[in-house]
Amino acid sequence: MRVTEGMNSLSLLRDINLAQERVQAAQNEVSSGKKLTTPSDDPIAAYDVVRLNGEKSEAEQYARNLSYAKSKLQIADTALDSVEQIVERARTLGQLSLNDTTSGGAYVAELTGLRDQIISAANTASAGRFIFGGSLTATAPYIKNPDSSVTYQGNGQDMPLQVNRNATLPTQIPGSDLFTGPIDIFATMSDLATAMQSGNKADIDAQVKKLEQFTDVVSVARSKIGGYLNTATNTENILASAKLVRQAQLSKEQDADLAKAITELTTSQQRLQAALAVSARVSQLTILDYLK
Amino acid sequence: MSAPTAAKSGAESLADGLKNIENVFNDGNGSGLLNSLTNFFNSFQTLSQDPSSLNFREQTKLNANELVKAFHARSSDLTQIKANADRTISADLEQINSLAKQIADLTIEIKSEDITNPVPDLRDRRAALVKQLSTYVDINEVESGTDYQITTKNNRLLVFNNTAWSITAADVDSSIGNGSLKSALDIRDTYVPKYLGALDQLAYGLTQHVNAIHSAGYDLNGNTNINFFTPLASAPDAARLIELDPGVATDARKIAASISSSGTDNGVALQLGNLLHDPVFSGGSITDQYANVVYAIGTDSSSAQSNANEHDELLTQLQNRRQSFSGVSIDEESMQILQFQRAYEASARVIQVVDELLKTTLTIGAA
Repeated sequence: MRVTEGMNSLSLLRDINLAQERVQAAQNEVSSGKKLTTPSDDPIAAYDVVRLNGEKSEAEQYARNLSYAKSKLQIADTALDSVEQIVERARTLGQLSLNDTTSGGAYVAELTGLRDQIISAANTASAGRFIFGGSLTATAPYIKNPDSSVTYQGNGQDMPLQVNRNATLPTQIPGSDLFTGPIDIFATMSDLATAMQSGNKADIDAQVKKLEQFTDVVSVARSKIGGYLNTATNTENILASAKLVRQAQLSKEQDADLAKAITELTTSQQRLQAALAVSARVSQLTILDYLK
Repeated sequence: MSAPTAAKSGAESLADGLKNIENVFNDGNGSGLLNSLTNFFNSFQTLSQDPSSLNFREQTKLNANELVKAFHARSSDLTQIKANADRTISADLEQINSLAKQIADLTIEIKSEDITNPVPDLRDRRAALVKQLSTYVDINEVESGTDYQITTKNNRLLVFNNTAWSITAADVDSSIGNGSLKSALDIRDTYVPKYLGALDQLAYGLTQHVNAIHSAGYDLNGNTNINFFTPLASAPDAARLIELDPGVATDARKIAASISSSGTDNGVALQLGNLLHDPVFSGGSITDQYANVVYAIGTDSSSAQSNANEHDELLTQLQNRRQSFSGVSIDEESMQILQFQRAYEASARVIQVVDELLKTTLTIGAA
């Protein structure tokens, strides 16, 4: 074929351009650490990355929900633990006054104090939000009336949170299932005080039995909470291992293989240098150089 | 040469245009529409932790506003790309008409020149103009006898001998043939509507599904039947028109997070949060639907790019072949100069010999 200077410069220019493009692409990949910077780099990978990133932020939200649920459940557990101890003390006082019906009056003041402690435990708040009022978290669930009776102002709604796809976790037990559930602990405590005051053995015995029933209610609730906390920890583990798998996938789809990218950068640089060197030499080369 | 030139220039400007559309759907640095979508739905999940919290409600409103803005921005970006394509079409038409005029003018000169002694320069200039013309639009160039004509691929006459006909936007349809004009037309009439439509569909589906759940719920004041977004009648233009319901926009207490009239439980907030992965949108969940759009524009853009590369390669090969026939080789020319130089030297030498012979002859006479 007949080769002319025009052809030479055309193809040299094109080759240099291609080499420049290669260097730039390789440079981008190395400096950004990503091989996928626009969807057209790899449409299928871009599709996967969108879905994986969607799942990622979804899972991050589940993790936030879980840690919120856990702290709320733990605070409830601590509150119920102290309630158990208070009720145990009240039961002891009841037992004491059963053995010696005349001594009852002496314990009434302490019993009233214990009752107030239960009210305050039932009004426990987590981050300024009451945890035993059902979904009414902004107002204290139990108020003490002037006649010292106690009214529940909350409702019976538990507040489940989404902790994984198709998995919700209750985060609280409403007071209506607990303090004023099968046994109204506040009424029981009042009745016990009255019975102890009057020294009526049968009445004291009945109220002490109720206290024991209430202890059962609390311990059932605590084991429920323990179960929820367990579920929370298990779900956290499931989310964590899913996160690892997802990260590996995401990284495979979008992260640059640095070793490969740097090799490509060096190779493309060499190619560019070669193209430039060749053009410098070839374009000088004419028969004129040899006709002296 | 005009067909490959038109094909290359068309493929390149199409690839450029699609790159612009692609940028609208790029989530590469985590700041794209996907991020706004997940933040929006996640803020309902956060709200479900404590629907009575005004902070969480404000946060939800804030994220909803960000999402609305994200839709607006993308809708206006795409509209802008469309407007730019429209301007390109007018500019290309102007160029085409001006080139046609120049070609017609040159044709007059070519016809009027001395047939026996044609000036190649005029024809070269016309060929250069034709080449330039074919970057805008693919043409048929016919020269038969003394007649010269240029038509577009959809048979609009551009030049006949010394007359140029203007083409207008009305003459431009998808059969116009390759070139940057056709690419601008495709961007304006095919690709922007395709992706704007997909974006609108996304925004419309979002308002429909969110409103359906939200209006069944109760707000903090115990009111129900409240829309979260202003309801939209149909999908077209939804990405531009999507707005928060005025009630919700002014008062975050109006966000209906509850399934019961207590207004404090989190039933509806849970449902709304779960919309992020519920497969109720066309093509699956809303992220699936968005991923489909990203895939589509990625494919369109990458095939346009490889198409442009192919045409570039093809054109280079053709240019090389033309150069091989008609290009100037310095080596060849030098050798010819050398040849002429030697011939000249040889002739000079002959003259010198003749001259010497003559001299000798004259000497003989004198002696």
